Amino acid sequence: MYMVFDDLETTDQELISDILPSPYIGLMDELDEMIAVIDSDMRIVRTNLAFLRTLEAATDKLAGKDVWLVLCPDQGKELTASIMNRMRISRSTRAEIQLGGGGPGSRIIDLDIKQVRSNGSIDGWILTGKDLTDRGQIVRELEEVRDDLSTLFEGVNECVLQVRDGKIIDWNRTASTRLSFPGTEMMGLGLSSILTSYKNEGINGKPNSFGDIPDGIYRCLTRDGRDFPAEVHAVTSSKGSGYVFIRDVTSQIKKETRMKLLAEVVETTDDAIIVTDGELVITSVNRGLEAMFGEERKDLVGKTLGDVGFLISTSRTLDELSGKISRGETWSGYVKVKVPSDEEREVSMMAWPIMSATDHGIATIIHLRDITDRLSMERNLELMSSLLSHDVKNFDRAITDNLEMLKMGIYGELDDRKSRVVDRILGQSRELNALLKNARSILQSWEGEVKLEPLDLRSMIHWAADMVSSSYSARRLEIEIDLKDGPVLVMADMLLKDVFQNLIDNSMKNSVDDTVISIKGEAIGPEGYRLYIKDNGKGIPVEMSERLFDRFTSTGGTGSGLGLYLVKRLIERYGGSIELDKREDACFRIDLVRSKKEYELVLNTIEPREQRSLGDLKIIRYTRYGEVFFKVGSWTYGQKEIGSLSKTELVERFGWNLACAIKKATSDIHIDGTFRYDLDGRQFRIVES
Amino acid sequence: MGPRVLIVEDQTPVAEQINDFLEWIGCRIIGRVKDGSEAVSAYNDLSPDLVTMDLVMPGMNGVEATKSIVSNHSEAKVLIFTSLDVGDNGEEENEMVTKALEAGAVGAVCKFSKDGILKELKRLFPDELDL
Repeated sequence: MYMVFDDLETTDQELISDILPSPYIGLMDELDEMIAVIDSDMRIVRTNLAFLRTLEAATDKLAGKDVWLVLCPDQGKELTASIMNRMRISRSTRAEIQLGGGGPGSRIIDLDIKQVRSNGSIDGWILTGKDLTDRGQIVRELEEVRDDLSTLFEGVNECVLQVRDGKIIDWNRTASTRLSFPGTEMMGLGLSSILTSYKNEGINGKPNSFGDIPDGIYRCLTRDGRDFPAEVHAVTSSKGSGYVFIRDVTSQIKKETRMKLLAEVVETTDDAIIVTDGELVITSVNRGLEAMFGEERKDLVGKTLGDVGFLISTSRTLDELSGKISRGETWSGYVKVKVPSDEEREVSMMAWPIMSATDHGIATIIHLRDITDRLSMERNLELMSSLLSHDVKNFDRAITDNLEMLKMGIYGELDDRKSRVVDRILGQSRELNALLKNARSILQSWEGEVKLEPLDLRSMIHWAADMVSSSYSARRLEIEIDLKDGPVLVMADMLLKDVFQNLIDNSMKNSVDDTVISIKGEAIGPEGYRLYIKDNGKGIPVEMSERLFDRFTSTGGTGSGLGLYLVKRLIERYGGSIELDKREDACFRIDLVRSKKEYELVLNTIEPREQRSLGDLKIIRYTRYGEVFFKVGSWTYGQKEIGSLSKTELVERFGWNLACAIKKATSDIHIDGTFRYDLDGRQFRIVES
Repeated sequence: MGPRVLIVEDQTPVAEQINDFLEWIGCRIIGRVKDGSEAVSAYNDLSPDLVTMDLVMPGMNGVEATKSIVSNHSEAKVLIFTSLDVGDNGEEENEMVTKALEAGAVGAVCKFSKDGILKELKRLFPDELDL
């Protein structure tokens, strides 16, 4: 259109009209731009429809009017005079005017004014106007968007850089802080000053080329010489400007590294691991499972647990597992499996559900471990323990018994020599008995789980002393017990008596005459109890002190060397420790864990049976369920009527750790009521029912 | 004259031991059997003053034998001779001792404990034995 007008040459006003034949006039009306033809006096000759629409005028109102009065009635004469001057001088003039005077609804018009000349004089002008109002609005809106973006970017945790031609022109607060560029120091920096690939090259070899930043992980450099891994995303315009978003992914990469390590561990462990989805369909397995069952993972993925060939399980087991998993609970149990050699193995299995935030199961991790060999070993141990506990023990006792009968003279009097031989054999037999006993205890300490319960320390010590002194009928054993902060309940099991039996027996062996053992105790902190055990024996040689608790280290007597080994093993089983007290000769220092809970003793009301009465009660154990077991000291029934004692007398007589029979044969105590152990006051109180 | 005793014990050496000891303290051993069913028959035939009853035996065990003897002879004195001693944790045999006592045994003693045996016999036969 401009070229048509530029080429226009005519002589007078009519010709201007003439040279715009109807098609061109029609065409003018099609255009969105405002077009006006004005004469040499700057009066409107003709306009197009867009011109009229913009001015909201009818055709006949404008013809012949001064164009500047029409377009700029409110604007200053200087502006219009300046435009008019330029129009006369230049063949092409540009001007920007405001229709409507700048108030609301005013429009910005960009005017392009071309002279029409003939024979060296100006015949008129063609005036073309573009309404820039909306564009301006768009620009303003864009500027507002840009301001909003700036505000938004200020608040994000990512570094945001505004870049033009590869150079930084603006940034958010996070970028300034994280990259350690105070003030305006980042202004004008090239991106390659901040971002580099991990191969220490520039960004695709073109450090300042903004358009060449593919999304990915880069090394982001800070002003103070540090760097961090960053995920970079660039949003560019077509003119080399835009925004670069930089997110510190250090913790994400650490997490991914940890996950990779974990995955490596899972993959390489010998145990079998199966991962399923929320429906228990296998999604992956590890190498351990492939090795254990000779199955390739590709053959297992997609199957359910019930479909895999190696699992010999009942549908009940799988239903139970499925039920627990769907409730978000862990399942554990033992299952039988078939291995490649067609052998059946026993496997422990645990399944953990992974739940989504909405408590929906999204995955399950199943761990399997072959425990066949372990179970076999445990069964062998049980068998050995049983043999030692019963059969071997019986034979051993029978030997001792026969020897004792020989010594008693049942088979006739023995001369001195024969008597000495019998004594020697009896001594050896007792040693064998002690060895077998310790061996049994060691086996028991290996068997099964450790189940500890509160035991009365004083009772255990007395019991052990009774057992030992009965083997040394010709010698006297005196035990001085001073347990502070009592009554003392320690966490142990029935083998605790073996601890004291061994220690007391050691003292007896290592002393020549009567044995005096001192046992002192005190609380250490709220959870510990310390014992100092010392005897009047000859002490322990210094060179032995380091190996004292090793197996088969004898303390110089006739022992097998298992006693102190067993003592240490058992005490450590209870979470305690034993060592020689450095301050004193031949003094053991034992630390045990004290029971914390307050226990309520509930004694059953039991009908008395016949007029059987019981001998002295020996405290056996106290369980966490509030039941205390006792056993008659020697299965001898004396004449005492325990049932006639009152509750208070019974407690006073036997101490707080009162025995309560649950085995009917010994249930001759007729007691009812509740006894409560007050931990704070360390008092045993009777609460009347 | 001391009490007439029937010894029920499946292990011969142990039975001989018990035999020797009881005789030494003045008892009269009138029979030795090796299992519970023999014990029941022997009691019917011999009517001993005392039965020393082992617990773990092949065939009929000591608990069943005690029950059978006591239910048919309310005056019977069956004394359980167990291998358990003070401080032993034999759960199963403990349970059997309990059941035997419930079935009517007059007491239980460790068969290897001379003191224990003496005390029981003193209790049961204070006039017949000069101990």
